[in-house]
Formats: sequence, C-alpha cells, structure tokens
Amino acid sequence: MLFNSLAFVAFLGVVYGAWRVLPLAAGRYWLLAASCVFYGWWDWRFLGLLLATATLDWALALGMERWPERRKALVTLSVVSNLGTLAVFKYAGFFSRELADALGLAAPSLLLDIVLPVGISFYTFQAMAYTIDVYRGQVAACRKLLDFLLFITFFPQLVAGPIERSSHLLPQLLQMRRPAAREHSEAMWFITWGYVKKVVVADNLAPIVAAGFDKDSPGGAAVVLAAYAFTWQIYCDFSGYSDIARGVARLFGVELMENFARPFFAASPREIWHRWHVSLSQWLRDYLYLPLGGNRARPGFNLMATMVLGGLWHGANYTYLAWGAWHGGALALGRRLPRPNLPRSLLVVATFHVTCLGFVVFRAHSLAQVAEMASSLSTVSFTPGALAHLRTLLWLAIPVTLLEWVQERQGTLAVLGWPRWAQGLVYALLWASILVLGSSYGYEFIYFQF
Amino acid sequence: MATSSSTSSSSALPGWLAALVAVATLLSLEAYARLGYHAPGDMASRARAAAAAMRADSVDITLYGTCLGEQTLDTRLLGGAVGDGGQVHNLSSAGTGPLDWYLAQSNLMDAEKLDAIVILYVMGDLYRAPSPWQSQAMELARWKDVPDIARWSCSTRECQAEFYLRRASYFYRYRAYLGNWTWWMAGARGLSRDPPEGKPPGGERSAAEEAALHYLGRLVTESRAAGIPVLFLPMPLSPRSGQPRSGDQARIEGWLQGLGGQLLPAPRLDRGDYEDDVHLNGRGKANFTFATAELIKQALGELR
Repeated sequence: MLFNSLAFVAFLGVVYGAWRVLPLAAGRYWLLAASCVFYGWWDWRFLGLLLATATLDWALALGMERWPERRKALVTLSVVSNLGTLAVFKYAGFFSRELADALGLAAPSLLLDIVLPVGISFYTFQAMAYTIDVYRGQVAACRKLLDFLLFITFFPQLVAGPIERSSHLLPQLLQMRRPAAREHSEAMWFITWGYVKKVVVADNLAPIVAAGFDKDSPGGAAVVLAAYAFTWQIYCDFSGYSDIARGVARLFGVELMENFARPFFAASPREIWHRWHVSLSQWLRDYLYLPLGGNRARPGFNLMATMVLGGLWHGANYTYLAWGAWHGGALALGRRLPRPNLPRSLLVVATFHVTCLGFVVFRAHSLAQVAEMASSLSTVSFTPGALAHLRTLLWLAIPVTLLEWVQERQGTLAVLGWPRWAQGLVYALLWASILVLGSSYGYEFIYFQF
Repeated sequence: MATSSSTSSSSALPGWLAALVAVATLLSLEAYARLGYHAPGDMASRARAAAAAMRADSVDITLYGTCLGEQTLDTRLLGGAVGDGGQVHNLSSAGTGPLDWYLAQSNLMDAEKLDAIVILYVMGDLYRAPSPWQSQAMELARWKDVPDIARWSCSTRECQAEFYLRRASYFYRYRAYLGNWTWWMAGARGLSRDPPEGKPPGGERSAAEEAALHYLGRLVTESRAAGIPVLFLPMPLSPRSGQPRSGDQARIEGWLQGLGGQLLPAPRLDRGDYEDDVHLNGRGKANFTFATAELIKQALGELR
C-alpha cells in the first residue's frame, strides 16, 4: 500500500480511529494486524516470508539467551538466514545472469524471474541488527513473539525504513501510550511536509529525470537537468517517505529516528553520511565498518568496503557498486586530505556536486550509459522544452531549499514555533500545493525497489 | 547545525487545527472549482441547452461525434435542409466517445421530443475505449451510472473509488487541469486542454474495445426501445486517403445493424471538397451538409 494512495488514507483513518478507542494492550495487536494488512496489500505470499524470517530471528535470539554457549552459532544462523533470504530474492538473478554470461550459458529462468518482495532489504537489516545486539548483550531478547513481529512489521517504517534499532523502537512498542497534543502537532507537520516532498517535488521532477536517463541521445541540457533533478527527486522521495513514516508513527505515540538531516547542507563527504539515510549509514558503521576494524586498521579499505557493500544493499547492479565506490573513495580521500580552508558555503556547494555526480551513476541503467551521458555534455543547448524543465526544477528546488535552510538554523520543527496564523498559512499553502500540483499518477517511492 | 526534531514550542498549531486547515483548503478548492472554473470541453452544457431547445412540433436530431463532427457540418444549414422546422443539435465534441454519447443521450435528452440520433464516425471512434479521466463523462454521468462506468473502466477497487470521487468532487475531477494551469502560469509547462500524458490516476486504462462497444450498444438498444432511430454516418475521407474497409469494420457494422442501428452510406465528395487529406473546405462542408441532410431525410422517411 502506497502512502500516496487513497487506499492508504482510508486505511490510516480506520487504523487510527480504532486504535484510539481500543485499550492500549489490545491496540498493540491491532497495529500488528494492520501492519500485516498493509504489507499483504502488495502480495499476501510475501507476508508469509516476512513473518517466517521474523519468527526465526525471534526464536534464535531467545535461544541465545537460553544457551549462551551456543549464541555464536545462533547469531551466525540468523545472519546467514537473513543474508540468504536477500541473496535469493535480490541477488540470485543478477549473479546467475553474470555467471551464465561468463560461461556462455543460458541463465535458469527460475532465478531470473524471482520477484523482489517489497521492503526486504529494510526488514532483514532491522532483524539482523536485533539478533546481533542480543548476541552482543546490548539488548534483551523479546519474550513475546507478537511483540517482536510488531517491531519488525510496524507499518509506518516497514517498507522503506528508517531501519530502527530494537533498543529504540521495541521499548516504545512494548509500553505503548497515547500521544500528547504536542506530538499530534508534530505528526501533522511531518505528514504534511513529507507529502509535499513526495507528491509535489519528487513526482513532478520525475519527467525531467526520465528525459535525461530514459531516452536515447537526450542531449547535454537534458542530461545536466536530469542529474540535478534526480538528486532532488531521490532526496524528496525518500526523505518524504521518512517524514510521513515519522508523522504516522507519532500519531500512535511512537518516535522514529530522523533518517535525513538536510543532507544538501553537508560540507564534506563524511558529513553527507551523517545526514543522508542515517539509519542505514549507522547500521553499516555499527555492523560492518567497526567490525572490519573501523579507524583502527586500514580505514581507507574499510570505508571503501563498507560503502561498496552499502551500494550493493541497494540492488544487484554495477551502477550501485560504482556509486558505493564513488562515496567510499570520497570518504577515504576526505579522510586523508586536510580540510580545505574555504567558506562553508563553498564546501556545501562542492559537496552537493559530489552527491549529484554519485547519483548520476546510481540512476543510470548501466555504466556505459554514464559514459554516453558524459560525452553528450560536449553540446549543451537549452531548447524551449529544456528551459521549461529548468523552470520546473527551480520552482520546486528553491522553496524546499529555503525551508530546509530555516530548519537547518532553527530545527526540524522550526515552523511549529512560528506564530499560529503563520503556521496556518503555511499549512494552507502546502496543502493547496499537494492537492493541486501533486502528481495524479501515484508514482511508487523510489526506495521500494531496494 | 540544528538537527533536533523536538524543538517545537508550546505555540505549535494543535494537530486537529492543522488537519482542519487541510480540510478547509480542500473545501476552498472545491468551491473554486464549482464556482469559478470552467471545464475544458462543453458537451454537457451544450447538451442541456439542446434539450431545452427541443420542441414537440419540430424535427429534432441529436448528432454525436468527435472533433471532426464538430467542425465538418454546418448545423444550421443542416437543420434547414432536413425540413419540417428541423433542429439539429450537434453535440460532437473533441475527445468524446460512445460512453459520453450514451450518457448525454440517456441523462439529458427527452426521448419524447427527439426524432433521430445521428452518429458521425470514423471506425476508430466507435471503439474508443472509455477514458473518463480525460473525457467529459463525469459531467454527464449521474450517480446511478458510476458503478457501471467504474466496472467497465477498472479492475481494481482503488481505481473504481476514483470514479466515485470524480463524480462527487469538481475539484478532484479537474485537479490535473488546475495543476497544468498553475505550471503554465509559472512558465514551466505549455497550456494544454489535456492532462499530462501517462498512466491515468489510480489505475489502468481499459484497453478493450468491448467497454466502448458496451456503451454504443446500450445507446442503440435503449434509443430504439424509446422509438428513436439511430443512424450511423461515416465521416467522408478524401479519395486520396480513402477509407479502407476491414473485416473488423464489417463485424462491428453487422453487429450495429443487428441491434437496430441504421448504417448510412458515406456521402460522395470529390477532391475539390478538401483542404487536405482529412479536412473539408467551405465547399466541401456545404456539400457534406446537404448530402447528409438528404441521407437523413431519406432514412427518416423510410423509418416512418
């Protein structure tokens, strides 16, 4: 079920309304049932996979507490089962095709036709983090299966994160409470702003992106515009989802972590990853980078390996690996070089362009396409169509940048500190833009494919 | 850097009030759409005006078709040529198809006063799949029509819900046009009567011709049951472009005749009647009008 669908609006109304009248203990299981419906809306068969893998992780974590001497074997089993699930559903097609190409054979169609379950990369990482934390003794194993299933399936963040830690989310779900008035205000802000970013900004940028990435010989201007547009599109799409998720969770008294902290104001490659997809970058840091040795030994290699695997997390394609390597290289270089003695604003602009170039590789269909796009930059001429796209891009990116600049200075919820009439005006403008300019086509969130 | 997400002060607009602002915005847009926005295309208002102008003592004919039908006939001349104080109400409109024609006919026309229905067509018009996202169907539909339209146009419940929303809300119906207009004002998009290209909102477009033929069939059978003859008049195409017949065309024409529709022959025109391969010039328009009048008179005479 898409957040930007009428079905979700109706679903949320029913789920929230019933949750308000149910006792909190029962409300927890109501949310579990609702989360199953939310996920099963795509395909009921994959709900079985989700529940099965979660149940296995729950049992393995309990086993780790009951038989401490076997906890290493049990956590290994959990990691293998989670990565194995990912390998089968996400990577089997790619690797079998590559292997078959190398050997000059035909890849088995069974492997090529595997459908990717929505959100699999998110919920497997969340479950894996839980079992590893239990193994490390950082959190206690969850006793009740239904509570654990709610932790994994909690619908606001199930399909595209944030990838929550059990130490943060599980206690909130176990001790559910009614949200305070302040949280309702925050929820409304997050939901409103999230929808603006998704349906107004990201979806209206989609045609500009398609003009540069999905057409043959698009021309230099279209390529340049598409590169900038995609950077904004993926940011607004993904952070919009995260904001809606945070807002919806807050309606149920649950606080999800901040997944995006205005990444385009980062002044270095390192800072990007403190601001972009924070839940994944923290996951990679805690469960990959630090176990590899972190800063203590071979930090450059560790950074590169972490980021390349982070790229692979997005999907089985050389473009994602190259994107990871691009950022790994930037991080390693940033670590070796002294910080340039330049105004922060210039560093922000430079870092933004590092991000942009990375996303060109990320969005391209192949590395060969990246080379083609680069060669098309030899002739950049703005046709009337390209100028219209440029205006669209500016109309969408500038207001978002201005509001984020305010948030950067005054906090994510800065608007809620403004006079009430000003807040009302902002809400009216934002809802008018959602209702009038919001795309009618119900584009899926980009990160659903990962 | 301030990244805290819990910096709201006590002056935060209460959540219920923020929600109320959202609802008020929606209602304001609805009021604007109802009071101040004129929908592109005017088939519904023309059909209402035609219904009001019909008289029991005159020969009244409604004419349905697409943009070619709108441009090709001189309606006043045709009315005079039909005789008996004839009034021809040309409701042809760009982008319409059998669904729109059926809805206009069944919802707005008074069968008692109507003497004949003429459908001006090229074959593709007859199986133009209903696309109520872009057509004027929701202007013409009544609530009772919506379940049937939704059933023929969608296979998902979400898509079907779209139609109920479109019937209920003017704003929802014309949201895409308002969006286009806003982008045009911002210099970021050309002004178009059509919503942007792409997948229709909420679901799939019915690709099957069966949906169009369903409404065409209902138009013929229900009109025949009310005693109104339905005449099918092919649009004249220039001798250069020709009007090739296909097995499919023969099948559909046979089916229409089986339902009680009457197929008229295409009026004969020559090369000098055309501006180009498709469009008639002034002489051609007059010739086509008189030829059509003759065919209609002849057909009505035979039917009487």
